[in-house]
Amino acid sequence: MVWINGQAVEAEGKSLSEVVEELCSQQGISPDAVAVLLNDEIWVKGRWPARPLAEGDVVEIVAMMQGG
Amino acid sequence: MSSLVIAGQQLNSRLLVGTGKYRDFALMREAIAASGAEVVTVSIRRVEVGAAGHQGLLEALDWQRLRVLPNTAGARTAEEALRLARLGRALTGSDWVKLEVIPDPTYLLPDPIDTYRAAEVLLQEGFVVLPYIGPDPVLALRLARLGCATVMPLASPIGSGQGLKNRAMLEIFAQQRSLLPPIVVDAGLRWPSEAAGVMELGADAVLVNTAIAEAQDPVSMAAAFSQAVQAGRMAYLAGPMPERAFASPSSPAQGVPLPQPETPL
Repeated sequence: MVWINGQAVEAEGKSLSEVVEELCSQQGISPDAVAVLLNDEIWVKGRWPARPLAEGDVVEIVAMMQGG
Repeated sequence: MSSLVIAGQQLNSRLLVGTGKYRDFALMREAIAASGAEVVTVSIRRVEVGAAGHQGLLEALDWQRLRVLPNTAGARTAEEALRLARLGRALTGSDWVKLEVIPDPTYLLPDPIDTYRAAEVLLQEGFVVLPYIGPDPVLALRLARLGCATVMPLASPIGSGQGLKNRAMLEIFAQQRSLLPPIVVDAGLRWPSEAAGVMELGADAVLVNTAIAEAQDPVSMAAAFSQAVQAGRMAYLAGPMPERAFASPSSPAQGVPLPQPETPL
């Protein structure tokens, strides 16, 4: 299992790019509008690492949200 | 009237605003325009299916005109704040961060020790740090010495609308203003008159979110805050009259056309 935004997902073997694009298209936002933490390393603006996701990877996909 | 300068950036408005709690983006956009603010805060959150808020925030505002100030809201420790700050920088491309370290969900009061620790690391990493703090003038001086770009003491708890509960402490901030970076009073305000009040004391700027977003008419309230901040600043620069123990007539005491000769009562 891969942890994506706190949820266990069967995404081993998928690329980070696939995962990000899938979520962004569900939400109707551009992949350029998100940043990603992969095991505490930051990736942004479509420059995702090429390696496939592996068991135990922790992915956080974040965007700007309303706040004070 | 002199401009506000934060980290070498000249800002024409002394009102900073948040983007939270608006009913919709159209209202938020209109209210922010009415506020005249140039600096707007945003939070960094997970993209989650069905979550409101991040859809289109990037497109909803004119980032050519507005300076984005990502916050670390949601961080309970210094380490969490560092993570959010770094993500905010990666996402927005801005080195500015509104540093919030808040372990307590009831009063949302910031943790002074972890705020200081996080500020120390972020400054080393080249961030422009705007720390949200309790009304503690000693902590403010310590953060100033560290190199923070502002100090942001709270007027009362975030979103409470309790107004200027910490007036006495904010007066001490103002008295120490020569030793501090810009004082941006943040949180808890309800009325524009309270914003004017802190500006009259000598605060350099005010940050408002809930008082505008939750007003019955956010656009008018944003304009009212804008005018209040300007009025307060002008009044501060103009300097108040001296206070007296007794009344002092505004009309001349001599030459009152009473019947002559006056007869004693």
